Amino acid sequence: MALTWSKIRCLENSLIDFLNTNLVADAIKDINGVQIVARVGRKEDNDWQLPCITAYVDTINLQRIFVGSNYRQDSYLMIIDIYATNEGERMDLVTWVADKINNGFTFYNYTPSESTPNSPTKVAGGLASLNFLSNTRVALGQNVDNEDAHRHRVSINVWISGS
Amino acid sequence: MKIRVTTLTKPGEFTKWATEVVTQDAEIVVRRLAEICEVLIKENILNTSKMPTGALADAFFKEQINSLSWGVGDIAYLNKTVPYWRHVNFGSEAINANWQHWLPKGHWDNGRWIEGNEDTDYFDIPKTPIQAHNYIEKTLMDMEIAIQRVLSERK
Repeated sequence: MALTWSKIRCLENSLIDFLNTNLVADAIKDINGVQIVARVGRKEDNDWQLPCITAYVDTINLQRIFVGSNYRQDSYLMIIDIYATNEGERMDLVTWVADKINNGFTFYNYTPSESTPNSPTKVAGGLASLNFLSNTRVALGQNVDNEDAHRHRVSINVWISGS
Repeated sequence: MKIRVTTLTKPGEFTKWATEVVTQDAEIVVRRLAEICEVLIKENILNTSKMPTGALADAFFKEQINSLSWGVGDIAYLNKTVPYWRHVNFGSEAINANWQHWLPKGHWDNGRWIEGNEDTDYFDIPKTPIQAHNYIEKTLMDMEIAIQRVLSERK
């Protein structure tokens, strides 16, 4: 039996689903007309094509709803990195991302399938709401390589409500 | 909501006293938040590092700007003393690419670069990228809770 996807993994994939659906719907393409994609995880692959958007959960906070209660309001620190090919594209992409996620996104519970691992079954499981923590250019200095030359970081605090 | 207060003092004196009380309270709150922020960012740096030397964590400290403003992490000081602070937070793929990130003269010892000036020491370029530690974002998230807690303590 395949391991059930945790809430963190479902949250990451829900955001990527939301971004990719909107990237296609809004026809967000680079200057060469290539569709821009969003992907889960920290950048590590060598086959990356710029521009691209990545998102992942970094930390979870398990706050008590009130003092003495064992009910928790989980909140998740999500990092969205935008890797652009020039400064204009960076600013356009970050504005698009911030506008799109502003109202939150649908949280899905995913069930992996052994026969079709790339297409897990998904069931809507609430609304992921968010607060912006930071929205800033990643300035790593001069003479950096292409991936780091026009980077932007958006960090958000996400919580899930409803079912 | 309106609150009417009747005092036996002159109106100006009461307003002055009330403002002083509120200001003193605000000073305590912002100092407390600065203390918490300093502890949190140090903790987040040390917890996310494989083998922390403490140099980066030590470079973050609270600093008073005026009676109601505190800051943690002076960018000019960080750039001078720990110029890698951004790379550790955001992660960097640039190492070993066209970015001339030479380490100061020294040698590798158990996975850590030890600076030195012996005949056997040399200059080197790290071979692996730095993974993002996100210690600033972690601290911002923790501060959201800390602000609520500190404010609720003062009620």
